[in-house]
Amino acid sequence: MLLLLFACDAPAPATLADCPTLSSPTAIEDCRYEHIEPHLSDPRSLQADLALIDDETSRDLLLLRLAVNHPDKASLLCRLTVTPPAQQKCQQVLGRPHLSTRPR
Amino acid sequence: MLLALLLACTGESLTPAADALAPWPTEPEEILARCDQEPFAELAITCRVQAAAQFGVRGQAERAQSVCEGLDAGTWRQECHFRAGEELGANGHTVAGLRHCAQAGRFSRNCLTHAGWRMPRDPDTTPDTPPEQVVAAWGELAAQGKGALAGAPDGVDNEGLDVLLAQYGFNVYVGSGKLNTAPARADVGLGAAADWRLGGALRTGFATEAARILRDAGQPVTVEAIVGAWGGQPLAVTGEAVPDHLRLGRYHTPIQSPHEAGVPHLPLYGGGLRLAAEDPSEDIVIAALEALYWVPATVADPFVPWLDDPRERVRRTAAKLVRLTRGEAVDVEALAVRLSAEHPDEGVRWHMADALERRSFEEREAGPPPRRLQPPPGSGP
Repeated sequence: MLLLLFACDAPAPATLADCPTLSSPTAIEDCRYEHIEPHLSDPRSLQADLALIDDETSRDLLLLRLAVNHPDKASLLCRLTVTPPAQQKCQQVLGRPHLSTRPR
Repeated sequence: MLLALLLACTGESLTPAADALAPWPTEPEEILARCDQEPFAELAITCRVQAAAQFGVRGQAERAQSVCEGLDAGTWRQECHFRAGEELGANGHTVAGLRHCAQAGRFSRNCLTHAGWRMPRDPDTTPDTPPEQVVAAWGELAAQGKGALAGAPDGVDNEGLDVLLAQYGFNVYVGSGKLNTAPARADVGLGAAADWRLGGALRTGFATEAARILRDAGQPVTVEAIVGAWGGQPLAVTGEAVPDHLRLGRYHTPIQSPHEAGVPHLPLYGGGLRLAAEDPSEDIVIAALEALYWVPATVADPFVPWLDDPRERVRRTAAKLVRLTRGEAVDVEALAVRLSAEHPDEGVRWHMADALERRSFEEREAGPPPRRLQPPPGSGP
């Protein structure tokens, strides 16, 4: 049964909008992350991508993960979070301005 | 239904986003258990950093060490050591904190500042402690600090010892309510064995405490009163002890004139530097001027008469402090224009010219509130 389920699983989603077709909730979050991260340097594109994600918790998780991996953009990313838990966790990056300094 | 069953078998959460955003537990071992379940790699990292910080709060330096060592080398491992170091420092484990700071890579200096400046007072070293004991306690702390900072990035070891020294001198006196001069004279008469740097740090502490006592009692804070107390003339008021977190004052960043190369300097509480004099009777005047600056309400005016002191280091200290303060009756800008051209001491001229260039006296026109130097333990981000 398990093999059957995996065998039927769709190929890697080609677009952000296709991510929810994945069967695993964690894989859906990872898929969203992988599609959005390349657009990080383009705020307009980032906002458009985020608008495609209805669930605000999923959206905030995405923003938090991006902030951790790109502390120099944390200020912008954390500002876009809306849920108090995400905003609190964002402080772990936002409240540590040295993290965005570049290694010499 | 099938999917839920399958996920239940694999142990995967149905709500990974909500789970990942949920607040961390308080206990570090519980945080670590949570990190192990975290499916998102970057949040597993920040989770471990949080655990290391909480081990630091509890003084468990070794547990924090193993957590940080488990992270890949780079920014977040450095941050892990930084968080552990500052929390250890804030909770009275200064040396253990410095050991983490030494591993914090490019954040080592920030870490030293947070860990070292939060070193709490030691009840066994006060102004009433026999000077030999104060000297011995410093020797022990310095040796431990040196060991902890071994292997730190270039220059961090010396900077760390400077932080410790300044904080030690500050801690012996400030907040004690006592002005026994004996510890601050510990370097006098010891000849070649004298540690003038320790003596100087203790004189800074003595002068700062005298200023604090006068300020807290609503009395005028003057160099003359502080130097008088050093000479045995009691202050007009009796000092009262205050807890660590009420030892609030103003500090500055290091400003060194090119004309002061080779002149001995001492670290100040908060990260600045002051000129030091081998003669304690001159050194206490310098310390008193710096203590005046530590009182946030002090304006430029009381520093101005010292610009013409016959002692070079006193003049230059006054010049540095004039440039950092707004004037009341004194127009600092006009004074700087005049003195940058006319003062016979090139060191004073340099400070005045640099002040005009940087407008450093203007930055304080608005009268900033006193900066909090010692947040209560555990209040870090």
